[in-house]
Amino acid sequence: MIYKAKLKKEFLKQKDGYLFILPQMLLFLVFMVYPVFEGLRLSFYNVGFVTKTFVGFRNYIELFKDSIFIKAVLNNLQFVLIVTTLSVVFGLFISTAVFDKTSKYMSFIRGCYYLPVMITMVAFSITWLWMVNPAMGLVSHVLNSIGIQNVNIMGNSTVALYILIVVMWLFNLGEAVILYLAAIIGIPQEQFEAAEIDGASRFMVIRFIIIPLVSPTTFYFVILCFIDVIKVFLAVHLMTAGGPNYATTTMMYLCYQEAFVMNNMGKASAIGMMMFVIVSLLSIIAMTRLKAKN
Amino acid sequence: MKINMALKSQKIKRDKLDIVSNIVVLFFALINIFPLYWMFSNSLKSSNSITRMPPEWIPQHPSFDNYVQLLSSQNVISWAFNSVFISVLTTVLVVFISSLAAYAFAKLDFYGNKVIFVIFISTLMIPKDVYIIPLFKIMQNFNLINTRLGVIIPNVALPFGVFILKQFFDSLPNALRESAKIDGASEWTVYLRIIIPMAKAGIGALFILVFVRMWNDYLWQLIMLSKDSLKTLQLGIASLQTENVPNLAFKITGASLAAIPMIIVFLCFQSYFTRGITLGAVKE
Amino acid sequence: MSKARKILSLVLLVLMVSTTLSMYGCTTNSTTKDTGEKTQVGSKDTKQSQEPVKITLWTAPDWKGVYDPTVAGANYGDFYKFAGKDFVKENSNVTVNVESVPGADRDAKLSIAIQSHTQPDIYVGADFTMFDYVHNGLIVPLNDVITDADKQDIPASIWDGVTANGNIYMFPYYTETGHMALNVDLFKQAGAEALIPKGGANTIVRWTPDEFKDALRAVKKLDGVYPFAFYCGSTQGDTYNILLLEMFGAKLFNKDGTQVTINDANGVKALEFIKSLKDEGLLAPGAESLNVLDVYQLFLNKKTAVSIFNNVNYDALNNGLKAKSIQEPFNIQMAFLPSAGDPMCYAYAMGSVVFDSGNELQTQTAKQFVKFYTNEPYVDASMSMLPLRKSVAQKLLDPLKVKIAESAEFSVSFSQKAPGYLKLRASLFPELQAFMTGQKTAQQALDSYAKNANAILKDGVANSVLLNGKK
Repeated sequence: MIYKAKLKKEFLKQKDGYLFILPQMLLFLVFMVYPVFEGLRLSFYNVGFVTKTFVGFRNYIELFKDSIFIKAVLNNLQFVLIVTTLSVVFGLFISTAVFDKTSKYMSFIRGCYYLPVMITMVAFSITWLWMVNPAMGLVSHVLNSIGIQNVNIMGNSTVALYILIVVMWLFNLGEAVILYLAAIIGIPQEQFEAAEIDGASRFMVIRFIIIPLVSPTTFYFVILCFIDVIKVFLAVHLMTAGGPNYATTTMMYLCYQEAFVMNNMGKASAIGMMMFVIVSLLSIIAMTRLKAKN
Repeated sequence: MKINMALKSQKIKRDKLDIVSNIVVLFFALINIFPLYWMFSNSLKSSNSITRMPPEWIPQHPSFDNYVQLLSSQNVISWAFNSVFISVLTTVLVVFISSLAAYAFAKLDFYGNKVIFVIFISTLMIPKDVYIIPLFKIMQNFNLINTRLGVIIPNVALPFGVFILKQFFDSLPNALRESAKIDGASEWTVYLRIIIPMAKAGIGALFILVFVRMWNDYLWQLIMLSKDSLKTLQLGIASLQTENVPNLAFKITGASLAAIPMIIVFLCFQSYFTRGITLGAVKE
Repeated sequence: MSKARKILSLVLLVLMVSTTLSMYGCTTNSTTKDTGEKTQVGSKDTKQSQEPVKITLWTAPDWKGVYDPTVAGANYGDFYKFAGKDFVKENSNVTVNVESVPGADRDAKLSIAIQSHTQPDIYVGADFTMFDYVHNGLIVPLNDVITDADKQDIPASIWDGVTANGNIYMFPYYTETGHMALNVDLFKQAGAEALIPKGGANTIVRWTPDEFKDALRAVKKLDGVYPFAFYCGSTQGDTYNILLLEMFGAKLFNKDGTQVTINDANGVKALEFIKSLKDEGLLAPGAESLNVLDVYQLFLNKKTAVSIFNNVNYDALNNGLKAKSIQEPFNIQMAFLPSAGDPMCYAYAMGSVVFDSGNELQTQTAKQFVKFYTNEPYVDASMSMLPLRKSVAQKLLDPLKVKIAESAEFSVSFSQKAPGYLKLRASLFPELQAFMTGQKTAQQALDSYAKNANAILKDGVANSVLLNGKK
């Protein structure tokens, strides 16, 4: 009895907290946690339009045997690693170059690098696709005029992949520039004054004062960039359809193809689960490493 | 901020490195906006001049014919409405629901506060695309396929807003809240009358951040919306790519048409954008 | 204290999960209830005409406007909206909703719709794209709305193509027929008129692969013009790819459509022939990245001298010339695809299929609507493409269009009834890309395709509801 009363009292005192998180938690459980389990379940089935048969681990075994899937995983890792690294490096480079200039100049630079995000990935991909079109595009014209005749840069497996990576990178760079600029401007004056007295060079200031002080920003940006890049789909979908010969296929693109072109929701779910595992692993690594650094 | 800048510019050395890097930065900036220029200038050309080699770097006979053709043959207004509706409503819901939760995590004492928050936040890096197939099946059970609501809800479930607002609320002082509590105000009143007004700047900025992400949320819209009447701007522009029209400029005009309003929005509200994007990086 | 707290949090957790699950359960329950009611309604025949019925029609974007595409504001699907209005006049309980779905999106959209039970009642499209759905038991036979007069009016070969197990699954409406075209003006400019096969403006001429190559060589010298454009950037337009592969007599399938046989010596020869065109600089660069729409656009913008060309392009060309968006002069000579044997072109039957909605009334209404617009007077709309009905074909005025329609007798039938055809398509273009970029030899690419394709076919046969009867 006493226990019950205690419980009741405790509950009344704490109910506000639970009530405030309830809507978010409900949505979270229904539309995020539950789908993951449902995905796991589906991945053990062979799902057709009208049929659904339990196949155990067959979807996963098929995936591991499938060289296209392996290729997609590797492509995905390249996307994430290269885009994130380049964005961090260039974001730092650009913001350290312009942070002590006039605010008009800074706004201009910020605008130049952030505009691709505003025009959206769809329009950005279409524009790039148009530029690299082998028969009508600007890039092939420029190549022609410097004597490289009839070469399709998107026909080379490696180059095509890196072009997509560059497009993704340019798309994500703007956010890095904005973040770093704000972070550097936020650094207290005294830090720079001390360096000035020591007669530190610009490079030394950047290397030993700015970069360590903006590391929380780096942490935050890596997370943002990671979420955006790991699911890369649209650029592949619009620009290469995964080609040439699967060279630019990514996991998300394969997942979409399996689910909605091959009509195999089971296998698509298995790809989703594989992505889930990879994302979880990478996020644990990223979180612990960056936390440790901080 | 300007004064601050001027001060700083005296404090840090200008050297060769600075000049070289600024030239590189400017060069890359121009390369980065060149595609946008190319998109826009091509949309003003006729199909005939668009493939002319050497290219017309500046349109010789600029005309808005392509825009007229596009607007008269496609439901662009309806696409734009859907995009705005979905993005705005999602953003409003994200801000509301995640601010409730973030308030509780930041200021309220209840058992499991920390643990629940950590569990919740540990899923931060998982994009919804990873479980998009089962999510699609679930939306089907809820009869939400081909509805705007179906596009909106899963995005509201994401922990992103809570992550950002929790940090912001943490930085707010407790004094006002406590005195209001002593006066007998309920938590709801405190949240609505004290916390939200204090966090206006942060919330406004989060608004922009989420809005831009929703505006770009292509794959989920592609799967969820197959009705023409529900098509968003992104879906519409992408579907133009599959049109068999002899006019080469048609597709690039679509891209351009979708881009222009957003560019204007950005130029007008650049400072808000900067604030929105940097919000999450404000560390304790 | 701490024990109380633990229990409290546990209780809350259980509460949360159970609310979630019950919410979920409720909704699923209510949906099943809904469909249950619907089927009941359908079976009440007496009340049929009063029950409101909503039918949805999806169409490929094949022609704009009702009967005339040049009317201002004309758009895809206008015809079905127009016919729908008239249909509703007679059946006031019906609403018709029309959507236009581009070919490149079709498979994914239909797949999404079927999996979420939001499929259209009627889909108007090409026969070969629909048989996968027939094999899955998703499409209802139309035997009861097709009369003997219809059967007389449309060629028997077309009926064959849409019939399986004695059931007719598609009501054929019009055709899309594909050939090649030469830009006569560009040939004149190159002084190579002599290499255009003899025939005359309103004929479709034949040529062999060698004649085809010679003609391409003759226009190579033109500045800013590619002689020809090959493409394999996506599945779209793969029919042409297959026809080109069959140029020396190879066949995609064996006679009964159970095996892919394109990897024989003649298939390899054809693929190597295409490569030789590339090596001689006779192709637009980057076949592996180009898609069929790029190739159409290159030709209509006078960037290629010879191109694949179908009746849709023919209409686009004429409309473009009329609207002055394409500049005169633009004279063409139509040709069959180059072939060492019989002349080749494709002609697929486009028509309406009715998806099983699970609601008898809805499905019946959809069938009636199909019958409604596939007969006089609405069927005249098929002249916007190429009519299949002999009674309508007689009304064609354009002499070249008449020739195109007549050439259907040379159309190559690649087994459009194969189960798993959608998957089959998805595995061809990557192999062609591998070949065109030099990663695989012709033999390797075709062998790899055949291996894949045969596995898909085997799987498709095993899982076909149509062939195995179970559902």
